[in-house]
Amino acid sequence: MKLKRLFFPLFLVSLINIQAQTVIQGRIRNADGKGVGSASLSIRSIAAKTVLGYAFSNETGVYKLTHNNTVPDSLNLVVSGLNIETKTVRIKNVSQTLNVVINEKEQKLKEVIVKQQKVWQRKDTINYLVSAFIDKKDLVIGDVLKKMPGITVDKDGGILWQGKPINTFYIENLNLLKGRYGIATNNVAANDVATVQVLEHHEPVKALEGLVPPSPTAAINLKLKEEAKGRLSIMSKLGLGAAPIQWENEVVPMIFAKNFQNITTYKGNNAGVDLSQEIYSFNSHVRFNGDNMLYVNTANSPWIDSKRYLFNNSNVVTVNTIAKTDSNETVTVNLAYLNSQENKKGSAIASYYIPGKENLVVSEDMNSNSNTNRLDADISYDRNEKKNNLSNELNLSALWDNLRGDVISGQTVHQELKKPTFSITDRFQWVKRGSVTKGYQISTSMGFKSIPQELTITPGMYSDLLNTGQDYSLLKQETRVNNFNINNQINSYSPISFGDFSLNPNVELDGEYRNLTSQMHVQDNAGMMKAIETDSMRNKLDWTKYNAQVDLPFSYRNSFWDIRLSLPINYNYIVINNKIKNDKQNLSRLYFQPRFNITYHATAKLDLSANYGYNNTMGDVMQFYPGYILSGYRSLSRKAGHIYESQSNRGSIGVDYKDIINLWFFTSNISYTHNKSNLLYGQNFQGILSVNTPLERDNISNNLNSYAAIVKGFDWKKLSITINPRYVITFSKTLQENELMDYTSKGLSIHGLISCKPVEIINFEYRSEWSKDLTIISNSDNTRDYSSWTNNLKLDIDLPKDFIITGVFEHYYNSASTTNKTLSFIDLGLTYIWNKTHISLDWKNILNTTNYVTYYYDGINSFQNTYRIRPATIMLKVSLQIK
Amino acid sequence: MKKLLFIFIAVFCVPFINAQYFTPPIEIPLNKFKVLDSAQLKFTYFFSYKKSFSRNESDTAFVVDKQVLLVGKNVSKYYSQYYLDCCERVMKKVKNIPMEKSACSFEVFKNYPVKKNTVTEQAGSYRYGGNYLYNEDKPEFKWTIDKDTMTLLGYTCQKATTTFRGRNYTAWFAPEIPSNNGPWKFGGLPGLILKISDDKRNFIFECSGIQQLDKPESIKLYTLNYTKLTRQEMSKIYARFFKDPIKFFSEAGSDIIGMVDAKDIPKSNYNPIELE
Repeated sequence: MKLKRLFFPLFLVSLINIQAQTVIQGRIRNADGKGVGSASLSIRSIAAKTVLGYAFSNETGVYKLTHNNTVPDSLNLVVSGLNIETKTVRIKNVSQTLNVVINEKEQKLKEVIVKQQKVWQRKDTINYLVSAFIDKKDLVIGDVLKKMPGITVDKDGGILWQGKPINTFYIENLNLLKGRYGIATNNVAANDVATVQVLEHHEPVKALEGLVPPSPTAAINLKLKEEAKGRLSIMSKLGLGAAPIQWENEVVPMIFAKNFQNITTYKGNNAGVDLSQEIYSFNSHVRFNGDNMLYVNTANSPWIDSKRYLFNNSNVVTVNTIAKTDSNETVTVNLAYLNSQENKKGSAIASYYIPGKENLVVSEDMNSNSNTNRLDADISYDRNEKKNNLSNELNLSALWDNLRGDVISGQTVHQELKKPTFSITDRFQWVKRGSVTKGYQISTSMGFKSIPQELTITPGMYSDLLNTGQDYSLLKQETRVNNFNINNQINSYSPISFGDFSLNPNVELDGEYRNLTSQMHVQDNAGMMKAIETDSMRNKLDWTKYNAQVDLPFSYRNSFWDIRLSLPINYNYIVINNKIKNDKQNLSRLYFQPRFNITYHATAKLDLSANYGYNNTMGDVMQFYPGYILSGYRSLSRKAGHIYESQSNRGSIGVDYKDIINLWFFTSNISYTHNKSNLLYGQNFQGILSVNTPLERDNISNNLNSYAAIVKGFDWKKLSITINPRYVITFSKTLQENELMDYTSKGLSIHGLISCKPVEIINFEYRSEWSKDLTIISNSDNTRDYSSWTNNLKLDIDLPKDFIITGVFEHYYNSASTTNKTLSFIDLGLTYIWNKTHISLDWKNILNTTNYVTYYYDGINSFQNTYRIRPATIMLKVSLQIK
Repeated sequence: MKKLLFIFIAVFCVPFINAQYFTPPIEIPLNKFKVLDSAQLKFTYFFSYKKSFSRNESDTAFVVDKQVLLVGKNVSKYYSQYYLDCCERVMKKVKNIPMEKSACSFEVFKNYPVKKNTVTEQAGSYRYGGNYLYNEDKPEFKWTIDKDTMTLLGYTCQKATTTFRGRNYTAWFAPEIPSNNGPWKFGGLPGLILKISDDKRNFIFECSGIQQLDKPESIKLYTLNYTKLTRQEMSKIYARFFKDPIKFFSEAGSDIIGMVDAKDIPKSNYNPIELE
């Protein structure tokens, strides 16, 4: 009995099992009756067509298919194979024997074009496949770079990776152009580049790799296609248009061989293309400032594409060569010469806030012409080895700048400025690596720069102030600044390290000499020139500064944490010799300026960081001179004769996230700066002349700056979306007519970019920037705000037979403008691509908009500028690559 | 010079194992081969695999190899396109070879010989100290079919799961493509496997292209001086190489130059796809 009880349920279970299994067996034969092996047999549901069970036939065609699904009454048995015509037989869902005869026939598959992976990452290198981003219309690599998610190309051509400027731009791992990589982005044929590589945390000096903390910035390397290497390629362009007659020509031969590269460029135009941008160096080591002591009041150019407003006649020639020896030595020579003549026409209405009074409104009509000649020569030697790095960079630069301008503001004022500048700098660096974790670096840089400037203003103005009430016909302001500086640094890397900790002491010794002289001359009505001898109207200063610094940077690094702490002690000694008053002052300061930086690599995709720094700044002679200088026709300024000093505390936190596989990039940063300084600069008006003198008074300003960038790229329709919000708030003090005012300014801006290819023939790009600015001035109910909104829409349509139509619509809105609040531009272009030749016909500014109006605040004052715009023009351009 | 071996510090992942070394390709005589079959179908896969397991496993980035499955009437071949591209450049004496550092150097021949697989590791004579070849029985995959579907490359794919040599896999196969093949050693489903990944997502194969070849392509087995061994012996060689490459090379009789201090070489975790 017990046994029976036990067996009964077991029997039931086995019964269910037997019933649940359906076995279909048989043989697959071809038309000749032969068994067909390797045929795939699957049982599929009739409705959903999903596979419920399957089997394969053996060499003789015999199969046995078992499945457990009992639910449907009938099923489809599908017989298929690569060389079998698919056959579907409707069967009852019961065990059975079924022989099937099939037709042997090769099967055609629905083909799928090989989907290239657009972006991939290896270690710290992110590779962008150019062919995945290139469009038919793209001629140079810069056109393609813009479309790669994570890479941003600024308006001025600077390249940013994850919002941070890149540190080096390589072509086939050679740094041919140094900082002037605009020459590459604007001239290297997009079709010649295989991949664009982003080298994250790139350290250009090999001997420093691993010795110094990983660089926070990245480099870009262009990997060329095999067929583009070692051969001459010439990019050329010829363009002619009207009205007025305009031209744009260029010829750029280049060669990229294994140990030798050269790009030579000639470009010339009068069509509004700003050629100075192309020779701008994005990573020059600025050692000098104070270039522009004197200026000509000219119309302020608007913040739009220069092609809309620049009236020019410019030519630029550059020669860039790099040669590499087998022992990793490179010699680079970069020469650039620019000649540019520009005409600026416009008007301005400046409104100055005068406490307790009505605003002072100055309106001016301006017309100016400039002629610039600039020559830059850089020669560098670099021996970049793992254990030993030796580099030297010599730069010579000369600039001849001549400006003439007329301002009509009641009377016509003629201004003429001559500004020849000469500078020479040399940087030397030697890094020696003793072992993997130890090494030292010696670097020296020195430079000399001379900037004599001369501003002539007719007629004679402000005679009461400048010429003891006597009328005069002409005033000449002369200034000369000579700079010499030398900087020596010795760094030692990890002589003390234990585990993940290391200490890298360094010593720095700097010397700086500056000499400033200024003198005014007036020409009386009889034509006699005489110098204004009043001491308050001239300067003769020598400024010498010595700086010694000892720093003990401490770092802790492992795979999650990167912590750096720097505790530098600075000793500054300044000697100022006012030769006019025979007054010698000296001053010494000892500073302790701690900084720390923590980065937490939470995951391979996510980095979190926090920074804090305390910094002391000392002004130089440019913030010191006690004699008045007439820097512009209505600006007379002097500095206090006190040394400007400020202390600032700055803290920031940031998040960086990148997901290469899903093309998500997110970066955000919030920083807060608290600044305290001893001088407050203010304006006083005597008529339209603003007299600027600083007040010695401690003052505090606070600034909060936050931004984020969210980028998402999609494989679908090449869609890419970028959103960039930014919020800035500043609390500060300003001095106007000797009255101290607190002001708060707040600015919110949101920048968005959407680009996509909705259908194969259409490329669509939409940029929008909205911003709102608000200024609140204390002890007055003067609150001002304005908002602006910019919309740019660009559409490319690929037509059959290699024609492309381009349409651009730009719309600008500014709520505060008193004349036109809105402004629009429409451009149309037609491009025909024939082999490697692009022929394009551009019709620009179809609406024939004649003026561009900008409105902005500068602290408490407001400015509305109107600028002449290039009229409607038609231009025909032929661009081709000759190989 | 030929006997010398360069090791660069760069992440280089060789078949299914993660390592921190990169050996540049050595000339392989691509003109010496045996034709096993001819293929009219070519499938391209991207094989994404984790390069480093030194940190949190799920967070490390993938490296990607482009691989190809050639399906012939009887025999199929699975190999790395990146590796082949590179070997071709070496053959043509192209200088400055841009090696895809994720390239795998194995080849899998299914149903050669009949009912067996042949696997070669043809990395010249340096990386593992020789060229290797082993045969194994065609693996019997015990697939569990699921009703879940997904569309890949325009094909409706159905889900199937299996366990293979210590890892659990989810495959998506296309019944509309009547080939019981798939990437690497995978197969045995009533339709081509378009995507397959293990449950830890360390290894992901995904089809990126399907081509019907107008001109049939030969399925070639390069006739190198292979050392014949068993799969287990091959696994031991991989393990020995990745656990202590320096020792491995010195035992193999190679000189090692161009290498930075030995202590700089990060310890790599041996992470084979086949755990058993």
